[in-house]
Amino acid sequence: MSKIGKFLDRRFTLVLMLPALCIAAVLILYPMCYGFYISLFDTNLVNKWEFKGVGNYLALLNNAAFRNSLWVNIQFIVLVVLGHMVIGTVLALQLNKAIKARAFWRCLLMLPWLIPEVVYALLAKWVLNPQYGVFNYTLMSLGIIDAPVAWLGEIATALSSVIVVSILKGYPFTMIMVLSGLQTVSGDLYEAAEMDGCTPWQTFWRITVPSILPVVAVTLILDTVTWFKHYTMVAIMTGGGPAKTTSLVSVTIYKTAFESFKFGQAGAMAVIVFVICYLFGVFYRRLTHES
Amino acid sequence: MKKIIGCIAVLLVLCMATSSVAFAGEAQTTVQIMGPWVVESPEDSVLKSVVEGFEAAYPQYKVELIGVPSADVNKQVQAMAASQTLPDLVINNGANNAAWKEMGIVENIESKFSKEFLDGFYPEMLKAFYYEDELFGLPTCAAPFVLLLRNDLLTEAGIEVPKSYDEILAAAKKLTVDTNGDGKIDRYGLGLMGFPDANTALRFILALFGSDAPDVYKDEAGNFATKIGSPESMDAFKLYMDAQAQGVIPPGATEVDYKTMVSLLSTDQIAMAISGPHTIGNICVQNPDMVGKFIAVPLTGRKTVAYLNPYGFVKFANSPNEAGAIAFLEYAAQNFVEMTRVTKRPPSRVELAEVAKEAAPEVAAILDCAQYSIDLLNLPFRADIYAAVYEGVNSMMAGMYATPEDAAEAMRAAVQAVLDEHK
Repeated sequence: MSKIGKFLDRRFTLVLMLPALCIAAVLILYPMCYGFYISLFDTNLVNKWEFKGVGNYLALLNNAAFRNSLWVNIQFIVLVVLGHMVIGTVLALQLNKAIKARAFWRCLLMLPWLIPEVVYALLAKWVLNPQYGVFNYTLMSLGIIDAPVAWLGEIATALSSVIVVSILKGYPFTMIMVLSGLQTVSGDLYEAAEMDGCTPWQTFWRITVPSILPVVAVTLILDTVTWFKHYTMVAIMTGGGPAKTTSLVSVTIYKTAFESFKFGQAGAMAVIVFVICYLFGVFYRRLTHES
Repeated sequence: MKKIIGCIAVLLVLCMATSSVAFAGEAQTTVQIMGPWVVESPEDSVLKSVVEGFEAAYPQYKVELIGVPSADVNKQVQAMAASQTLPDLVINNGANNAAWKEMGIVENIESKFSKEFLDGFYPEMLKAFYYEDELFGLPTCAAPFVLLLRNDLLTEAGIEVPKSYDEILAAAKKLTVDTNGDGKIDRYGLGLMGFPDANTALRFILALFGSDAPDVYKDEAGNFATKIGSPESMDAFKLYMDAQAQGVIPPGATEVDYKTMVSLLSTDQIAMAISGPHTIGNICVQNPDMVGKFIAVPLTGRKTVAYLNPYGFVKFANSPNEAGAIAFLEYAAQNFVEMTRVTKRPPSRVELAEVAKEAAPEVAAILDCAQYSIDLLNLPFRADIYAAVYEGVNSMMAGMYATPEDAAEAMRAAVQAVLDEHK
């Protein structure tokens, strides 16, 4: 066997993985490292490169806007991911049953996920508009409210409204993941449970949940990371307002980078978001592994 | 044999024709122009016609248009500057010249034009493209910020054009009505923008100038300072807060961005707004019934003011086709009257004033506003000032502050922090 042949024989897996590794290095590893690199500078990326070391990170400790954004983000992410899990799981359980027109319902319930975020956000903004929005009109017609409410414009309701819109946009991902998990659970287990006299609730907790837990863990990680760095819909609907009540970290990072041209500071914020997302992943994996 | 000779002859002719086309192609160089007018309607059709005219007048140049939504222009320029792929020209209002100068991506092009040519611009418009005595581009038209009014409603209600902030509020109160008798207000007297973006900041800054309280000015010692928080500036804060408290603006002011405001104006839901003739163009595109119903007057508080907001083209340093870019700048400045006809934006050149007035009668009043033009300082940290102002307006309209004094103090502190950072 030639040298190349021997090498291929020994390192065949590596050779096959090499193209994907190269692409990942260029598209993922390099931007990540570059992002960390610029977080150590005061830079506009063109002609100003002033080394600051950990200065940008220390400055964030006194940055009230960033601290506020982190707090807003935590509230946002907890409620959005919880909403996705509840709605997604309930709908997946229904779609897993032998209901009529199952394919139709699956397609219909997937629609919010297929609509581009920009379009969805604009639609939500119009629906919730206090002047001409159909939501206020309906509530007023039903006598539930007397005067139009600026759902996205008032401090008391803005974050809740953004969370509800985000839940309705993102639940199909959880639904389809949980549904795929449910379809891998063997029917024999349910039959055995029925013969043992398990109630539907016991069947759900003792058979369904443990069986789909790996899928749920992956879904939770992906959903949390995706929505933690969410930008588009919130930027369109509220721009981070009113009074910064919906100013997610991503909105603050965007404004710091592309309005104030403080790329070093924005880079430091992004690195912190990366660390938080990574910790979320570790936490979820530990949690489900121990279970 | 004859067939072979015939075939060779045809091939020779084809080769000659192909090579001449290739030669012509080589001789033509491409001028790249990037900006929002490429993707915005109806501006796109105007730009296209100007480009066609330019290409016919200068056959050695071909124009490549790169569309970028106005909200993304800064981001795109930043990314292209970092990757050294900037185009020749960008459509802009000159507001970023100071920041771009600091980045070293624009250069002085004053020497490329004759003094006579530059003297042909309205000085207030040309000034916006200067920073520290260096010229970075040329204006083609203005997208002014003034007070936009529904003249038909004013006449119907017997109201004079308001000449102070108190009169604006009084007029707005009279114009806030239930038009269909269902017991609910469906037309408000005034529209104020409160969405956290630069459009909101610019409109409030105009109101500050109208109160004789510039957002940023140079004090006697030559340092940047702000008049926000001064007794004069309270007029602007009171105008916004009183308008909300008296219910003469639609609910949800913090949601009102430029597009929403255009929508409210074109659907007859508000009667007045701080904006300009370019807005009239957009309104009439959305609702042709509104043609001829709007007038635009300077905003009058303690002072009479207007922000001309001249728009045009900025040339980047070391642009790939400098000669073509300069030729286009010169051509475009003199051939943008179609923009006036379509969007009601007044032209930047004095010699076009009469032609423009014929094309769009609304322009006459706007050109008169030039004398009230505010001195909005071109600053490298302008975006930070806008952010401090729009966050303040957004919080004020969200009901964060009990009094105008509280709102003014919060905004003053935010603007002062920016000034301190850039001392």
